Amino acid sequence: MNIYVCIKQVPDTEASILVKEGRSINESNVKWIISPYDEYAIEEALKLKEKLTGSKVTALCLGPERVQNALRTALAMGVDAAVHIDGGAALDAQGTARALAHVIRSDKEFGVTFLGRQAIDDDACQVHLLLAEELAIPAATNVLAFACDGQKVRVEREIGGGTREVIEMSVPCVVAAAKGLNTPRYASMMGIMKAKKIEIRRVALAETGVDEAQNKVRLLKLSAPAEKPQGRMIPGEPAEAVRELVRLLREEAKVL
Amino acid sequence: MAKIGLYIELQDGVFKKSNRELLSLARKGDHAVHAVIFCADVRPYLEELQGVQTVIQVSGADLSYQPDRYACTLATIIEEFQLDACCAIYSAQGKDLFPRLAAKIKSGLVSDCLSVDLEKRQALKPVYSGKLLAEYQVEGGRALFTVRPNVVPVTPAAGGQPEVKSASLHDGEPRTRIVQVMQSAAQKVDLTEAEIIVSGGRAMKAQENFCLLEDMARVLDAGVGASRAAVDAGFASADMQVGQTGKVVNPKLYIACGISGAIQHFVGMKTSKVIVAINKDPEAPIFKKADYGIVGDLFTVLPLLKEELKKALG
Amino acid sequence: MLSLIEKILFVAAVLLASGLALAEFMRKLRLVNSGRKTDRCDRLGRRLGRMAFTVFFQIPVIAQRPVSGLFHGFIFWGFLVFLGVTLNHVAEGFQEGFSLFGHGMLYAILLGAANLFAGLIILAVIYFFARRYIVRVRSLERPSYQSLTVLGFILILMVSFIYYEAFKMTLAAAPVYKANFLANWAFAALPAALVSAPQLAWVKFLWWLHILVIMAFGVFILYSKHLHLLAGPLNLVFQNLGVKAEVPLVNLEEQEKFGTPQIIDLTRKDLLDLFSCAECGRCDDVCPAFQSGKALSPKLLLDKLKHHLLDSASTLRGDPASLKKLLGEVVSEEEVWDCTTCAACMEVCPMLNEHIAKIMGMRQFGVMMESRFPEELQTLFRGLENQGNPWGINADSRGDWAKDLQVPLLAEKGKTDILFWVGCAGSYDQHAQKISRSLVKIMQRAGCDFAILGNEEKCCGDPARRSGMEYLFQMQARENIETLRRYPFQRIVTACPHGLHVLKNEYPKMGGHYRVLHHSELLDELLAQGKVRVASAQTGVVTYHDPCYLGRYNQIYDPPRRVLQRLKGGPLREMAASKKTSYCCGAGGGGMWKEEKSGKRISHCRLEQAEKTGAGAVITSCPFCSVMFHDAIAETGRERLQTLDLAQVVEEMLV
Repeated sequence: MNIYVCIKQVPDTEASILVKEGRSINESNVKWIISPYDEYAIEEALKLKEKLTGSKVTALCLGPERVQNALRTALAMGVDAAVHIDGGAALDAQGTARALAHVIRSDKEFGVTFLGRQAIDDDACQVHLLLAEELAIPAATNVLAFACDGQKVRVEREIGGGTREVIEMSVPCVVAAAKGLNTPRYASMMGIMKAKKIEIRRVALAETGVDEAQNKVRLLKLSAPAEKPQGRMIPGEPAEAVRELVRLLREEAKVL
Repeated sequence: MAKIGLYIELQDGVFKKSNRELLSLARKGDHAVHAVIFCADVRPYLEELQGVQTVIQVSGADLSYQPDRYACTLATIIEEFQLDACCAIYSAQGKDLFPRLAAKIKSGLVSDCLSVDLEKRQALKPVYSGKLLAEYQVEGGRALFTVRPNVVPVTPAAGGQPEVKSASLHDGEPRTRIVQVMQSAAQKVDLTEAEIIVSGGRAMKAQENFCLLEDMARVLDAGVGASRAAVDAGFASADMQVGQTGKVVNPKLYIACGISGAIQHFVGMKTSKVIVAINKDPEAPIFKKADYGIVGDLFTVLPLLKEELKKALG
Repeated sequence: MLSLIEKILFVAAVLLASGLALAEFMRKLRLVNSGRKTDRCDRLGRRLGRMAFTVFFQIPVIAQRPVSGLFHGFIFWGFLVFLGVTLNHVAEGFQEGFSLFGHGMLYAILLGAANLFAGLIILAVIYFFARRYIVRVRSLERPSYQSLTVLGFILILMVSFIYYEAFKMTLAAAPVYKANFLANWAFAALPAALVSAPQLAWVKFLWWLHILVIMAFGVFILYSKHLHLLAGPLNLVFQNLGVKAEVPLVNLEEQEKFGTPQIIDLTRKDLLDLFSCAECGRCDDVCPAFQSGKALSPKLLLDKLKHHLLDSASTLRGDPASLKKLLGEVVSEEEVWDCTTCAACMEVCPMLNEHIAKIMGMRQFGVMMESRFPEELQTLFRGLENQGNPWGINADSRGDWAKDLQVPLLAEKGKTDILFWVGCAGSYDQHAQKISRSLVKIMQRAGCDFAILGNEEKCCGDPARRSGMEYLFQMQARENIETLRRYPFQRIVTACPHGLHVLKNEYPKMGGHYRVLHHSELLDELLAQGKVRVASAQTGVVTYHDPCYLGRYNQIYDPPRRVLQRLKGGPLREMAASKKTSYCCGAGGGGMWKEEKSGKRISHCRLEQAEKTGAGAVITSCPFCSVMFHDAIAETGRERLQTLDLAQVVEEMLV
């Protein structure tokens, strides 16, 4: 099976993110990684490849020159081939999905395509579904368990409140990985060395027929949120403090 | 005056509370609001929907959620009613449905919005795990938004009775088939995926006391974690351990009970959006990392907190 | 004395024994030579000198186990004496009454020494027999038939010597020596019937018995663990004269193999280690992993490798590629990852065997070639790679701990006398931050000219290196060396022994040469020079825990103790395992970032040892030990105990 995995390069979860000129971030001190959800996608793709003999995994990544590093990491993990769609950092989700679809569609025998359920930079949570629609194939999001016999795919997905849904669909399809799907492997030195020798295919964004002018969603402004208040001790009698805590969690932190 | 569509989400036939936030959002401007509900009978919900111009009742043989059918139906409705913008809750269903809809009607979608200006079609959403806020403009075609729950202030429903119109569920062959739904009651919430985690340390004193945490977790639909010290002491099983040498979690809310906050634990939960610490020792390092802290005896605070949460969450 | 036929038989026996011995020697030599070449032939004079000195005085043998060591010494020194005796023995066989040493004083001395040592050796044999087969000490759990054979040989040699000498006295011409006191005593005890006539048959029998056992012994040595008689001294010649447990610098660009996939990837010295091991079990006695009930036994580790090497002889000749993988197939992954690299095993090994080299080779192979390592270490590796610290905490917040202390950043200050290398724990861990803060306050009080690197500092690379992740180690090291190159400073002071060791001893190989001090040395200096003064206060009994990378790796045992004495606080009571044999806290070798899945927690064991001294506080001088003990105190509910770093103790008592 020709398996695909679409990844995004994002700043490390711990990196300090500072706004630069209103609409971009200061990249000077940023350590770039593969978006963690995409790592689950890579791992699942590799597992599927190991299961179905004769399979091949191709990783796709869209972005500037630096994303080649993300592709190298994917190759080091065991991906067989890599395609770098050069450019398009400012594409919206639909443009991104169309560009990715363009490359995947050029393979007449594409099978399962894996993605992370969201990239941890813009947290849009859309590309996987847009891609599936673009390719007119079934898709499952937020996947926690995956099985495939080559023809059919069976996944378990979280639909909130701990409830899981079991879904079946046919290949080709799109699977969006959630945390907990697997434990991504760590690239060995051997993998890194092997990856160095693989040529990354470069596709100019123009070749995909997608450009930023077609964006449906435009970024107007990036800003730092109001400084998170320093850790706050809630004083008072236990009953009182607890009431205040629940109020703060609902109204201020908005997590309940 | 814009025509606004709202996807009203039902959960097992119950009107989700967050729908009120969508309604409040739509009420803010002078909009013709269209509420779309997939159900056989909208009457039980009409009281909540006062002031809405039109309620579109989608009926069909099998109304259980199926993303392809739902998306196609919504696309048809948006076309038919010429809706300018459409909103849904950023819930598991909203996340699954709206991107598909966006693709079908070839329109822009902004997800996980904290606020939406329906007039200007602008929305504010957190990016980089909340480290920044992004303001987006939806251009051309129709605008779609999914709105984060519990953010928009709720205003009371007022106004006349809506006009009920009907639409039928798209009956094309869906691409996916739901073969089984597994309820959460049977299984514990898995730590690594949990949105909320209640975690206990050595100060829980005994294995039996972990039931205090489990009770609270049930109220919150949360996972139960433990520090290494608690696991070491045999209060909790090794698969509950959060930390450098245990599980790494990133819930939106992490409640640390009787955990001192050693670095090895902190590393396992540092990406939690909000950290609450409850500890007897006011000097415990965890308070330096926590967003909210309560100094007090666990065995007094925890039962109170559970009751308070029960009250708040209904 | 011997007839012609007997003489021919004797020569034939010598040839046969030598042939057998030589064949086995060559076989083992070939096995050793199947390893990689290693350069351990420099400074040959020094090497030989050290070997001779160590062997003759039996230093490491006695140091670790005084009683057994002394008895071992008796056997060794006795054997040296018996070299002369044996030569004479052979000569006598060929010509009755002949003595290589004449019949005067010299011979009397030799006889006296031989009698004395024969007696001591018999005592030693009884002692060792009792220890092994009656008392059964723990480190010698598996009764060894080899040891029994050798004890038997030695006993026969001694008894046959004594009775040979005694029966010789029945022969008319034999002179009697006072020095021959054991023989004289044996002669006196012989039944009258035997003494009345010459007993040539007995003399001959005992002559043959003695010499044949010597030959058998000689052959047996080569086939058994007693090869250590030969391999041990050789091993001492090829000992590591460089940095303790040094991890060889891996050439990441050119090497195609990392670590030691198979036995042939070990160095020849590593393989010689296997034959040098006498299975004495001193290593197991001090190994924190073994003592806390984990899978690793350093002794068994070498034994497994040795047997694998012996079993692989034919594969080595035929198809070396099909040799077993060491990691997982010869040594279990659990054993390899149980090691804390504390180096106690190497400290006490009389053969100076290098256990850690084997462990590191297998770790490097597992991590870099197969991505096989304890899952928890992924967090460590990712943290180091992305944020330059083991916990993956934001690199931009590394200097935050110092914000309220007015600690100058080197980038702002330009140059400094002391560069305070804070380290990852000192920067991020809340317990260890207290150590950094204390040290800063002391240096400020003393008027030291110092600065920190702040966010420019990266992990020194120790956790990566000891986990076998050489790639990340070199990445961190290179960045740090690059940063340090930019600033003028006199010396580096660090409160972290791991940073100390790596910066001082391992960065030079990568081009970074610095004068590095541990904070205990600086505190010692400041107190001695009177730059800071302390009030004496009664603090109660304290005990001091030697961090492995400070003590064993860098021989810094005394400065921290001197500092404690200068404080004139409570009395310092040493733990049984201290200084060279100090017991690890469990954090070394990546232990800090992985789970101890079997046995007791090492930190808990150490805390028990500390508790036994009756001390109320465990003083240490390593942030990782500190963190381990903090956790252990909480985990075991020993709140009565307190753990403090040296810097914290000094700061508290500043006046």
